Amino acid sequence: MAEEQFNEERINRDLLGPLFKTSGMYYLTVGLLAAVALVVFVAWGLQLSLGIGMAGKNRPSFWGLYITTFVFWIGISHAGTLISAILRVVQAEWRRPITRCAEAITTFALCTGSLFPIIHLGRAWLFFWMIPYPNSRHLWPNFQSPLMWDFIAINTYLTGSVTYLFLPMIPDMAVARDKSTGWRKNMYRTLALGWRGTERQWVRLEKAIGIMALIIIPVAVSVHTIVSWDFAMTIMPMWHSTIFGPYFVVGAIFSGIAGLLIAMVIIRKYFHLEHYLQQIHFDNLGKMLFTMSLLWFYFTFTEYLVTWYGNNSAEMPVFWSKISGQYAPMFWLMVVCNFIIPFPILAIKKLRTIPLIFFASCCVVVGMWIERFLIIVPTLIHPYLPYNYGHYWPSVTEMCIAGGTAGFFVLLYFLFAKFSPMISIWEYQEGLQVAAHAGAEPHAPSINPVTESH
Amino acid sequence: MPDTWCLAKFARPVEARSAIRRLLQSGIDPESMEVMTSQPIHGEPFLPEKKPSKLRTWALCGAAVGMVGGCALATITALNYPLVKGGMPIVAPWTVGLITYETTMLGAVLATLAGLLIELGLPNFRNLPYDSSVVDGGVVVAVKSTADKKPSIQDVVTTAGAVKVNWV
Repeated sequence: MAEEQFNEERINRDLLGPLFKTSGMYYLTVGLLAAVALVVFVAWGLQLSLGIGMAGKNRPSFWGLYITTFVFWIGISHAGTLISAILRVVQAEWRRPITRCAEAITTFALCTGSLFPIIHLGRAWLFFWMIPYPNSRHLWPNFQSPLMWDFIAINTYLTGSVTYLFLPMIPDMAVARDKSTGWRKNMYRTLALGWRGTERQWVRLEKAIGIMALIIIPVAVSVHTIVSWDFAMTIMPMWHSTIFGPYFVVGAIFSGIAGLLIAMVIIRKYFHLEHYLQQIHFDNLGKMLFTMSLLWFYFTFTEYLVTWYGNNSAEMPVFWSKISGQYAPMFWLMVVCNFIIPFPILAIKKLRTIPLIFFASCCVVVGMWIERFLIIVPTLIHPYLPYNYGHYWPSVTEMCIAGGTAGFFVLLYFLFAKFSPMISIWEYQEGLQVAAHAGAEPHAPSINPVTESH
Repeated sequence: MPDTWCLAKFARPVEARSAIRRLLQSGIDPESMEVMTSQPIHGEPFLPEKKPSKLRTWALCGAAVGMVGGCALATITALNYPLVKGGMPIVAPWTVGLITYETTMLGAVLATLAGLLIELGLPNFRNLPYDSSVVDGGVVVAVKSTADKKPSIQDVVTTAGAVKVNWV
């Protein structure tokens, strides 16, 4: 039987389908994820009521799993907006089916990551002290503290990312409005803001998205650089490094692409988007992941080589604890996950299949979480003075909160997928039109009927 | 007598362009026409741009406001309660620069969003001419018309190849 033509009607039906039809499996998945997310909030509630002693933090390990997981999620957030913006700016046509998946990751990873500094505060209700507002005691936040830079940078990135996610969603909300009934119609009518798809609206929307893409790239780079400065600005062994900024940015993009690939595989399978998320998208992102794996290895090698060669007496205990000491199993697992496994899978074309890319991406995500842990904890328990050396082992509360946020993140992502098409409908249609104009092979079986005839 | 809108749907942009050309030749004011599509159509615009977009200006102005605001916030608040922190000057240019950079970007983001919504007059929930079938493809040309021009418009769009014509 001949395959049905890929026209607007078919694309609308395929991409809006998951919004209007809900399977029992979806409810089950959401229920399970909600249960996992609940664990986070129950554990946090316990910590709030019983005190920060519930966490395994101690002197000198004041930062532990919370800050590790915070840095990890902020890194994952680089999947979306940054990658989507770069691909838009360079007009990579294959980006079209992946931008929405990517931008949603950024928004939800930032929401998840932003919880951690508040959880880490202990007295979370005093969080508002970081907000600069006039008060009777004339006390203002300390803008010379890297933690305030974090606060400002993450809020800027979150605002930019939400805007960057929302703008291309407006026309899709209008399609959903026109195709839905009942309460959904009312909801999508509100979200579509009265969009009609006039020529004037399209011109301005595309211009606004272009401007936003240009703004968001330096913001994304600045965010993870500033996160790295939380460490590099302190004079702690193996933290006070000038390459920490780019090292963190590379790591963030690395874990971000891996996170995006995992999300794409799941979304593709779960919502039956095999026609839209094709091998070429995984192949191209796989190549990007490969490049980032090489870059990550280069930065890690440089960082450790310079430390070893310098033989600084304060840094060597940290160095050896990772290479051959108590953290060596984690260190070498990190190297295996971030380099040894992804390298052949991503370098050899025959191995760059969707299941193997998925496996490599999972390894990278695990490896990058370990990397964050190894940056933070070994340094903290080996400060300058040897009699201040300590130990750190996360408590059950910490593990529940840190681990549970994965469920929280996936829950937010799944809920979002029920309310917005995970592939930008209009951008996909535009891509087919552009391909037809250029006479190129579109990434779909046939071309769009809305094409200029020549 | 109130104006009515003719909503003519064309299968392809080339037919819509032809209809618009003929409507303009027959004396229809371009201001009283609108073109709706489910995606941006590349190539020559259907209608002359009424007012050029000033989104770049919006973004630059927002960035400027953010820059001045961030710089002022970090500087004035430090001077307001002067405490030496970490041996740094009360107003440290490096740290003020960082805050200023982020607020500059924030200003640009917010101003671009505001500029877009203002230029497009969104949100707008008034009953404006619209044919919801446009989301399934094609090009809808909306023409504002008085009763006396109705037959001639109907004739032009039908001759140009409209697959559907509605009067609302």
